[in-house]
Amino acid sequence: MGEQLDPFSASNLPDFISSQKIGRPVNFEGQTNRGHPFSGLKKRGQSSRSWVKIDQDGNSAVLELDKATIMKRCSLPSRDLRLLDPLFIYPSSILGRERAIVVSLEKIRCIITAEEVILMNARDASVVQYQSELCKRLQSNHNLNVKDDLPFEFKALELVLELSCLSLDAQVNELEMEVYPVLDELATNISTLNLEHVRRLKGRLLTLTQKVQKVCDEIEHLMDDDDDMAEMYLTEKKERAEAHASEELEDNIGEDFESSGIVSKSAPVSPVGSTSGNFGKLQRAFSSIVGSHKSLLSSSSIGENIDQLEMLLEAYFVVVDNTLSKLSSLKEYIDDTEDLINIKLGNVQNQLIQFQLLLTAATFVAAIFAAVTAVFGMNLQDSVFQNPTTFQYVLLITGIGCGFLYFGFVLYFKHKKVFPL
Amino acid sequence: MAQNGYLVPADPSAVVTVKKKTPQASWALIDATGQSEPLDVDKYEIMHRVQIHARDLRILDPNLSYPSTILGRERAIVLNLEHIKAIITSEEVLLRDPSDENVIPVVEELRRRLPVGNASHNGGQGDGKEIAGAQNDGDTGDEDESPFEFRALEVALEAICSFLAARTAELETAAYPALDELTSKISSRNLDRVRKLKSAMTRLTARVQKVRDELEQLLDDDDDMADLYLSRKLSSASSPISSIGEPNWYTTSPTIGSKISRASRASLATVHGDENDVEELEMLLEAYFMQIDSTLNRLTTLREYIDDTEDYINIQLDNHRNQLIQLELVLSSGTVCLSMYSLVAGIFGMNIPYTWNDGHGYMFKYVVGLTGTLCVVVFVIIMSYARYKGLVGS
Repeated sequence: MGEQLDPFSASNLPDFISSQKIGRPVNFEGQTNRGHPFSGLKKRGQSSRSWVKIDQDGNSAVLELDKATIMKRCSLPSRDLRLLDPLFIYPSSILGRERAIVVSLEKIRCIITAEEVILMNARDASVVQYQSELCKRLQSNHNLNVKDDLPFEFKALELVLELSCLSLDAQVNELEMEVYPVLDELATNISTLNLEHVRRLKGRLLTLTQKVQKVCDEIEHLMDDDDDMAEMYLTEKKERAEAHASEELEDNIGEDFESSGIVSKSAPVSPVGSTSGNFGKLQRAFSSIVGSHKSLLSSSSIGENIDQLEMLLEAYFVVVDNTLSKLSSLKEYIDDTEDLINIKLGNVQNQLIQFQLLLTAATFVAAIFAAVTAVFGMNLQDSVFQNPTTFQYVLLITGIGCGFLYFGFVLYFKHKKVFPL
Repeated sequence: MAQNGYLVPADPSAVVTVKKKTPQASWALIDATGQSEPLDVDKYEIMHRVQIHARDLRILDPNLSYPSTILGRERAIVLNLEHIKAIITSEEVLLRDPSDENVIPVVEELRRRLPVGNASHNGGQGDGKEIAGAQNDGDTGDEDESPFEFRALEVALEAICSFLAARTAELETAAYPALDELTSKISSRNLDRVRKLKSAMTRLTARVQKVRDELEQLLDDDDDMADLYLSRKLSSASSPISSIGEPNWYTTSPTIGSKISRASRASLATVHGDENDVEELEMLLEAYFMQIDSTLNRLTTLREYIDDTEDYINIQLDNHRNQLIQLELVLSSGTVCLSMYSLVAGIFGMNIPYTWNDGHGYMFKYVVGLTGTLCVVVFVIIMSYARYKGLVGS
């Protein structure tokens, strides 16, 4: 089955009918209403958004689901769905819930369950790439009979991590290729244009560093907590839940009751769907495992189980950490360039002051000459003024004296080693 | 040239379109007898042969920039150290891109050192002592009884430490003359040279730091070190759990039963491992950790030397500027005094009738002498004040 992408347009529908609804997301109306289970709710102004469902065989379908349906389908609180809302700017996060993993990394926002991936549909290239790549991988695994030991949810999670790491790495490489020429140009020509260019690039570097740091911290936070990692083993939890179907039914009835409180009370209670094909595995399950969810959770904390997810997360943690190191190196390179430019500016400043010193010395010598000529310009009668040859004597003696004085200054500067630099 | 193995046609849908890498890679297979054979196989063949994940193979992809890492898996050690990308099992070494000029010496060294000694699968009590003795004497002859995978690992670590130390020595050789030249003459050319050197040093420091952190992380975790004992894991797995048999590596969604059996096998491996065996690997890693740590110290010293030189140059420039400003201060104060002298003379030079114009010829000498004396006094006062404030002569 090929993938189907329906064009859709964004429109704002005012939500006046349901007063119990939480939040007012922007509604995306698709041209196709396939798979909409609450057709009656549509007329009441319930918001629905376009999603892409990808199952284990690599088949994808576009769905129009509202918030309540997603919550019921994946057993998620509305707080987790708010993470996936495009209107809100949430940092990157990976959350493990009872039946689903909520992933929001870069542009990819999706809900991964043990059977399917529900991907928020968007026109972004990375979302389209994730969709086609995941379908391709699942179909190729199905065709080639190459059976990876990862369960379905980890295959989907691995692809999200891989594409996010590739996206961040590409952004870092792009920034690097811009920074190096600009810094070389700044070292050559210090102008306002080049300085402004570097300042803008440093701003982009800081923003990108924060994004990479957030992804790095999120993966590290997951790896540090074994319980968080154990929460993500959806397939195992589902298999164990089916082994205790009778107990699970009671809990699900309670969950349905809670979710009914959020949606209108007229919503029908959907029965718990059992997955076919897993009955053969139930015989191999240990019947000695008895107990509540806590017991199931604690038994799933075996080191062998955690190792699988830990290796997956560690591989991508190393990639993100490497990207963060490249950003640190880039920032250090910018700082180094700025330090050396400061030295260069200091050097030029010294040369300017040196030239000013020479001019000041010349001004001083010229002032001496002016003083002498001013003295003889006074209108005071004296016997000196009776002699016409005094004029030549005054000019000659003063000129030679000033010349020798200036030359003396220059020699003194050389002696003090302030000139030349 | 004979090619070992067969070509598996790669399905186009299995190849990741984004990376556009070729499905086949060039590998060199080196076994315990030192025989080297080239392999041209796709990644599924490699995965099947050594039973690792595709994710681990991606670490060895030369097109992707992965940092240095040492991973211990069930049956293999995955090495990614700078240009050495290898998979070490208990019987053979798979080395990527053997025709690379940096990798050729590693291949030759592996072929020379792998056949030495018997491949012992059981670590004895005296292994640590013999290893210590071997390292002290520098003799890796008959006394070396390390398992196969540790001999291969040692060759790789030795090559990497030598490579990074050589890069550091090259950088030092280029840096010290450039800094001396910058100190003697500050010009744009010298500043750019130092800037390029600092950039190269930063990148090299990051690489050395990564290798060092990887070794430190291995040394800090005994479980990670125990994972690297492939031969011991193999011998332990064959005797007590032979009834279970080999686990299906590509099991889809493994059941609880196989997980518990794996956990018990891991526990058995832990029980079998005594402290001495982890100690053997610990001494191996610690030797190269100290070597890479000294390389990092040299880079840190070089970094501090460059920073000190920059600080020294900044201080030198500031001192130079202060001297220039001092001389300018002296000249400016002299100019002020001479201007005052010219002012007085200019006043008497005005063509406005005054009583001293006629009959007061003797006033010329008084005006010249008195004004000159006054100007000298003002100059001395200014210079004394400057010296008192510490602006001049300090």
